[in-house]
Amino acid sequence: MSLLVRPAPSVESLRRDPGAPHRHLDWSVLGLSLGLAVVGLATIFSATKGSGPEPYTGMVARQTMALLLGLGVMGTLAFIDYRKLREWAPIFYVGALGLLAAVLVMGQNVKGAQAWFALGAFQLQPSEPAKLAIIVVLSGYLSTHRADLGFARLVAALGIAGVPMGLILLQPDLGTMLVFVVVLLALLGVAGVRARYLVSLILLGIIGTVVVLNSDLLAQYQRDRLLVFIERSSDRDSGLAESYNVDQSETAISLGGLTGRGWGKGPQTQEGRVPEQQTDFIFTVVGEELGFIGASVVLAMFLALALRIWRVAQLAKDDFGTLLCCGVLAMLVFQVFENVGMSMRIMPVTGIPLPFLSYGGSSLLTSCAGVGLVLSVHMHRFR
Amino acid sequence: MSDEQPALRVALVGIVVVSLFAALFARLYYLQVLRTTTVEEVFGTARFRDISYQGPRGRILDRNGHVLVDNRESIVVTIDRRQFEALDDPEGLQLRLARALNAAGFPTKVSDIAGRIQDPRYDPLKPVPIAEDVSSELESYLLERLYEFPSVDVVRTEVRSYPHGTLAAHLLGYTGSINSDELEAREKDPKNYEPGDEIGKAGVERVFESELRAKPGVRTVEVDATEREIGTRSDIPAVPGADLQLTIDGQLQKAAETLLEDALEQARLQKKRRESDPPLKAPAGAVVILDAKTSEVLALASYPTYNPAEFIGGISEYRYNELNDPAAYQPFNDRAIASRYAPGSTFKPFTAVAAMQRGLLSSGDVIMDNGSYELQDCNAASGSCVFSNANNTKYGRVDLERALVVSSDVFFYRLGEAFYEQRGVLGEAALQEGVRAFGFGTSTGIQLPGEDSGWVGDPASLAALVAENPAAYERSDWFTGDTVNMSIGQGEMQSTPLQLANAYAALANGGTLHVPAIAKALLNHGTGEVTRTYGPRQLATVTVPPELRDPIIAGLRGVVADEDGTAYPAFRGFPLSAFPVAGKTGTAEVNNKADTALFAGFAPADDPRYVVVAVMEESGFASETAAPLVRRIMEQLPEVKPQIAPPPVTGSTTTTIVETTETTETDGDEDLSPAAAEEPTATSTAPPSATTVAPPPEPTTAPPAPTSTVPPATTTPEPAPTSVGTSSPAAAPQTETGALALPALVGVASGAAAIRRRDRRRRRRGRSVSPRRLG
Repeated sequence: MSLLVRPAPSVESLRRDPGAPHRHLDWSVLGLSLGLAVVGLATIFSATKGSGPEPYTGMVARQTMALLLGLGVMGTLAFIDYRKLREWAPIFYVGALGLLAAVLVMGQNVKGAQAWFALGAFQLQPSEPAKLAIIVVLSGYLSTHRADLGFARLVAALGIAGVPMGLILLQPDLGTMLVFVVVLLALLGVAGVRARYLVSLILLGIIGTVVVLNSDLLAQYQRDRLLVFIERSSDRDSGLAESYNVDQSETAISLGGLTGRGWGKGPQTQEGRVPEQQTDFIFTVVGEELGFIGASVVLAMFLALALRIWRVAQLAKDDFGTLLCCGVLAMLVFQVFENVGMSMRIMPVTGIPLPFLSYGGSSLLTSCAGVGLVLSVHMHRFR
Repeated sequence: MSDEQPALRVALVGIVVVSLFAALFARLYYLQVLRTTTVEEVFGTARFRDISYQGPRGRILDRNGHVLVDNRESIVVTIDRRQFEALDDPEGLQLRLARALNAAGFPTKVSDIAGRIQDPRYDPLKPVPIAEDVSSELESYLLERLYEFPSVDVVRTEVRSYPHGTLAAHLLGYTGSINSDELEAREKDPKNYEPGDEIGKAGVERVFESELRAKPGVRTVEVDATEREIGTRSDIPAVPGADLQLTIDGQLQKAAETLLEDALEQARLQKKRRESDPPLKAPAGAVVILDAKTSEVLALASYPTYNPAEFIGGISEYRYNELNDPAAYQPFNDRAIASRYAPGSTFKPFTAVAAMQRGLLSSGDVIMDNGSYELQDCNAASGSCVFSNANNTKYGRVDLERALVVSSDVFFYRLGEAFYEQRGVLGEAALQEGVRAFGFGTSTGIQLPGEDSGWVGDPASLAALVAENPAAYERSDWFTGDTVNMSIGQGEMQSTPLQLANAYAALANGGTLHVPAIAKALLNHGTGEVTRTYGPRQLATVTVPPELRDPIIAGLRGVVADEDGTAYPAFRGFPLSAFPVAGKTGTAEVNNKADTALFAGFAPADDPRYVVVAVMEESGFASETAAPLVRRIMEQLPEVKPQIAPPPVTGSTTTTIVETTETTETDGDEDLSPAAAEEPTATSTAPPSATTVAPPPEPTTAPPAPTSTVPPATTTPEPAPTSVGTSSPAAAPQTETGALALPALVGVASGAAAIRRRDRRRRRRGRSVSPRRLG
């Protein structure tokens, strides 16, 4: 890290300053994010317009509001120097833990998970912003102690991540918990934790899960909830409902063929045969109505966004920036892979939204905020 | 990045990312390009539902455009079986519904509702009709309270309506729900039948089903997984069925039916000649009126009849059986086309034509009629040898014309044996061939279901019958007597009324046999534009040169006009000079039953336009029953009607000729009844003389037409005794087998009652004595 002392820039020189943050706004990341969000609006409209003469637009309107809010968050985070976040990390962490704890007490139980706050007409899912909080906190901790990432540091990092993960498991929301696991492993790996630690960690995690489930450590209802999730996540052997979801989802994507059925004309979509279509199974709308060509374009946009974030990670001025980008990258890519893979029956069914596309304000805001962090890293790489 | 290792690790992350996306792309390519699914595979045909709906069925009109069968809206209360069976308390619903129906004035028992629901006649998939033709008040009452009546619905449907009740019921037929056989037969029908659809079951409704039926409209709707309609993809509107215009003249049909019924009622009032005679039940009959030139059917009446409206919404099995019950004389049976009768003496003209065509008879031939005929070639094996006139009446020297006028059986017995004698030259079945040429023994081909073929037996057909069922026959050989019997229309000779009428039409028009036509045209439902016409269809030509035909026509004219004619009394007072009638009575023997009375005639005799045939079962003498009936029917013909004076107000109590009043043709008026105009002004509006009848009415018809109840000697003076042909010693001519019929020699008014009175007098004196001497 260079600590060159420079004279305070004049207005004149500021305008010409080649390292000024506003000169390094990554338009591709912004454009891809915005493009994906617009595709999301279009697919949500198609999935929710209904069959009446007057299309239903309520969900699209709410999602549009969330997007505008998300763009605001994205811009704000982009222009804030990401390094300041490291200083604010404890605040994020405590805030996230507080919300996660509060939702268990005061939250709404929707479909068996105590995961939402009701804020008037809107709902907030605290586990979504908590993902970003953990990325910031872990990136900060790991970059600070990069030089000596021994066993103690590893345990500390696990502890930092473990508390919110535990709270999320209590909701229970295994899908989001898995995102935490992936983000944790990615950050540990990129930060330089030894490979044998990582492998041991994964093994321990698996053994631990089995032991916990078979012990009396958890109350019966907690164990039941976990078991429900584990059972749900293996779609083929689980109950009819989950199998039905994937059957319908796969069928819809197959029906799309090369060119798709046309926007607003997918038979599965328009007849509402795919459950949870505007949220977790939004990709089936893309697949059925836009076909292989359209779905490939959407996946390519995700890939381009991912590679661009990956590039920003490499370009980052410091380890904290690199780790931040890798955390956001891991979060987004895992969600895309899990969500799209689940729609195509190559991943188990879990309730993970597709970034930018799935209906849901918390998810969209979190995705936007994550991109905002990446933009900030990119913009501030010379300052 | 300050060292190499993190850069390497970050690079590794990129590889992982690309791999994951590669997996997604691969799977996407597999699902969408390699293994695509078609909509049909996923949804089958379940995705779109075709909902067909009916358009209006074509109406049926008479030749003048009067509507005989129409459509009307009916409000029907229905129950959906599947919903009903899923109810917690089906009995409670039945009870509530029965209460609501009763309160609205539609008496219904709970058991009625239960019966309807269980009735297998209704399509299991469609709602069962519980009550038809309910009021619109009940409709709105129920529709507002459907939540109280789960599974119940009220719908409006189009049903047939019959503005003239039973008029032409046999001919028109009726419609009903399609059954599985009919559905199967019409599987590929372009008019797309579905269970529960209405289909013509009888009469022209059945024959012209394809024309009358509307092409159903099809609304293709898209449904979701729960069968909810989510949109209409296409809507092909229904095409109404074509209106069918019949050849029937509604007014003539009405006249024929009412007059037939009246005549049968009169026939039942007759007294038997002898106690041992079978009772005169007069239960049934038929009337056929044809256009003599084309065989268009102008009227086709059968009694007893039924009301086709009974079939709307389905008829009970009990009632259906009742309509087919032989004990009730099968009201369902269309006797005009489906019953075969021995034609008796009405058949004689055809025997004569066959004989003349084969050189067995020429117009000058005279036979000595001594009342009976003994076969020339008689042996024990040939059955009976002596055939008698009815009551052995002697007619003396008769030629063909005279034989027809007085109905000498002996004359035709002789012809019959002549056929038999010449069988070596002419063939075994020369008589049969001769009469088959007029269509006897074969269905006429009229476009109505259930037509009978009649029966013309010959040695070959008898042998075939015996071979088929030896036990039923005492003999297997054709006897001389069989041919002899056939020559007077008895025995192995049976005809439907329509066949007889059609044969008379051929005789009347000079030898052209047509397929009797029932349909005249198809009209566009809305515009009335003619889309198809049905012309006359020629069936065959019989060579009847004038030298053959003239003596026969002369004889047939004599039957009604000659004072010795068997129908002379019946036609007294009829304007014969303006509208000459040719006809023949027939009184046919039936085993163990009273005789069948027949009359077949055509008019005007010199240029025939109409053929009228009347058949009355178990009614006795044709001259007293069938002939007067035909006279009254002919009085309703448009050429004759204006000439018939109104009946005396104090007149008939036993006969009903009230039909003579209405003469004005009211266009567009739905009322076909000639007797409808009750007000006396109706008669005054009659045109003084129809243009079709040039000469003024006969003097006898000018005064109030005497009917049969008018006492003797009050109207016309007794005519001079007549003896047409000097060779007629016997004054009481006889008609057919075993029956007495009197020529109008006594000075009484024409009509059956007068004859009956006379017969009674004669019976008191024992023998059949010439009334002339009594006078």
